[in-house]
Amino acid sequence: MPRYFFHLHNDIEILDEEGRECADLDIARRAAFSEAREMAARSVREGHLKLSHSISVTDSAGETVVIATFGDAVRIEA
Amino acid sequence: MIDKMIVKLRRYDKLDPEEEAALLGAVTEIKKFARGTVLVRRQTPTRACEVVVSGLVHRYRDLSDGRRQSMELSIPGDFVDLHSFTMKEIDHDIACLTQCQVAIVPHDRLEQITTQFPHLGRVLWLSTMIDAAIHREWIVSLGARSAVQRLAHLFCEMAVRLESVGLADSDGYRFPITQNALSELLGMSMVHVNRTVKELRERELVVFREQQVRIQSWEGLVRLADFDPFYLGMHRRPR
Repeated sequence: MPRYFFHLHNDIEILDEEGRECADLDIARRAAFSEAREMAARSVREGHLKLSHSISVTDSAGETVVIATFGDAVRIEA
Repeated sequence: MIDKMIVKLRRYDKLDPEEEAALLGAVTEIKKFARGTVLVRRQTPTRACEVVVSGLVHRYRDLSDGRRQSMELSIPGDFVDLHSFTMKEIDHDIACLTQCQVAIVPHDRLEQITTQFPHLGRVLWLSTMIDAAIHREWIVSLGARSAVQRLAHLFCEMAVRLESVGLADSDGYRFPITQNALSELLGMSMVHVNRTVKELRERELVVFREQQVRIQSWEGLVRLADFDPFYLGMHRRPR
């Protein structure tokens, strides 16, 4: 299975050095949005949220294949 | 091969040489397993119990949607499924997180121990009660501790348990666990685990990298985690 790396671009940048196996890009994309929701939730619990913060996914060649911003990961209504 | 288990049980109570010999004699074989091997499957009849000789083992439950929650890490010296001696079929799965060596102790040997050495039987009983205490502390972590406290508590628990069997020193210990396994143990996503590892490093409490935990401030880590090792039962009492 291909390995993908999930990086956090938040109040701090955290690069994923270990990665995880995903069956295909679609699974990796869903995992990225799920990660974005969890990290956005953590921000909300801490009392702040920046919608431009994101999770980016790179493949084993180092190419960025997904960017999931917190804003795209949650539907926000007034 | 199960000398670490003897060392561990001696923390609970004094053992007679005959009791120690009975335990050592109860092992019928040592088996090697690859990372990921399921040692015990839930709701499956068992005829032997396993002692971890080397490697890391975890107990866990899988939900039908594929999510997994680990409940406990087992380290060398742990009688990982002593529960199956009386339960016969256990309620959860037990698998290797690393390559492992495991000592096999058939149920009939344990039956002999409980009849011939009732005190040793009670000490083994205690070891399953400590497993339950570890689970209780884990429930507190999952329900009430924040992400960073949860990870700090795990690092504290592993430090004390590994030190008790000679696998940690005051600097830290080898901890060959993947971020996926940590995620399933801590109930957090993998990115969240990485974020939390980084937070502990920024607070200058623990550095976890390349399968090595290096403790920078034990006092600070204990304070953050609200860690009290009492639940690990490492105080000698007549049992």
